[in-house]
Amino acid sequence: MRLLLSALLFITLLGCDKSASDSKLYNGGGTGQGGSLARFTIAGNYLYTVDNEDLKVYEISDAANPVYKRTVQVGFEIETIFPFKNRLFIGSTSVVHIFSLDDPSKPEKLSEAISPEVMRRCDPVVAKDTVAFATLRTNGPCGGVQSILAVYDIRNVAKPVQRASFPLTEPYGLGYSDTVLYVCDNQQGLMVFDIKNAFEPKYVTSLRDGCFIDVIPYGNTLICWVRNGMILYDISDNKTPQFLTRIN
Amino acid sequence: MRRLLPILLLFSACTDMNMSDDFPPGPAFVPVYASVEWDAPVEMQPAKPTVTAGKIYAFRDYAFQVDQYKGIHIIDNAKSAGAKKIGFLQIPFCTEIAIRNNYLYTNHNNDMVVFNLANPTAPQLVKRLKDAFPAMNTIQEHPPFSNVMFECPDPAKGMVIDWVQQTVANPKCRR
Repeated sequence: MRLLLSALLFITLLGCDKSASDSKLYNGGGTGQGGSLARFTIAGNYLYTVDNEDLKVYEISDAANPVYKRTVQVGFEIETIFPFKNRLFIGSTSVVHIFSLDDPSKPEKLSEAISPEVMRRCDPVVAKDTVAFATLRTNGPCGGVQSILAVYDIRNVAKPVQRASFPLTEPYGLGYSDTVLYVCDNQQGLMVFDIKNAFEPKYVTSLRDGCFIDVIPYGNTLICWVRNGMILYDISDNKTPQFLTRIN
Repeated sequence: MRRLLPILLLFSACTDMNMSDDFPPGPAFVPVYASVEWDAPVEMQPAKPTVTAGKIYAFRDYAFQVDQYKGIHIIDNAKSAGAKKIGFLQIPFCTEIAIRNNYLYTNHNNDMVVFNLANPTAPQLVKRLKDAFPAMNTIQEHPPFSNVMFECPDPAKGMVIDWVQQTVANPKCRR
């Protein structure tokens, strides 16, 4: 029996990070924005990609001409990559690998964190600087452990500590806009949480317009990957997304 | 270490999977094969319905959605309520997207390819890095679950891209 720490996206960080307060704006204009289930991500002048085992680094100072820099072996069953500050969080089915980007051309492994077993042993600590959210999905046939939205204190980014959890059914991607967190729970819909108090997400509502897999809050639009295509919501009032259109 | 990988994978296949003729009828996972040609051209096509919705991406007034292993739907999102597809960029075995300064990075078969998006209705292929991702589209040898029955994949039928649960008279694989 294995817990799939899937879609694990560690992502979505609040607190001191300035980008949180900028989430209403397009980020920088030059670089686009992906969902939380991506295997490609851009940070600074570098494109980072993960396949099942390896992290690859390309310099894209000249965007038309990516230059391969190096390959770093990460582990097995890698699924996602997410940049935060000068770190890369690389999610696999069982663990999150954390790499330093102090030298962005040469990611260096800092730690492995967050196996579900470790999380459950963590003692709560009091700290509010920085928080990360992740979805931990168990699979039906062999699960037995509840799927959750987990909330981590990542002040010490190499030693995330779980601070809260919220039970979900089959969660995948997630994203936030200011003080609102959107979590895709497949057939159960899109869950909306108030995260003014980031360590205590408050469930607000769920939207049942489709089977939700991932989201990108982008300006005043929430772009959603649903099982059969895409749904757009207006999130000018981010707690109450208004359905705009469906693109199948 | 890299040299050991194929051996390790072989090992895990041996330990993870049992094949037998004796499993009784019942629910089992059945492979879904990709209906994609490795050699299909990379080209812009008219907007078309989404078949297998994949990853999403946002860049300025455009949204993008991968059609798993087939290509990328390009969506004009300038007026969100009236957002609409403006074309489909066919790219065999495409699964990923990232964009910077009007350049789109994605995967085509085992290669990385770069498109100039200055005119999103007519992206231009400007760069190809051969064999950048030989392991990106690994064949799924088994369903992503443990303790389940499944129909053994037939490599002759192509790449397995998904699994669906059905009642199978005689599932021969178990994991």
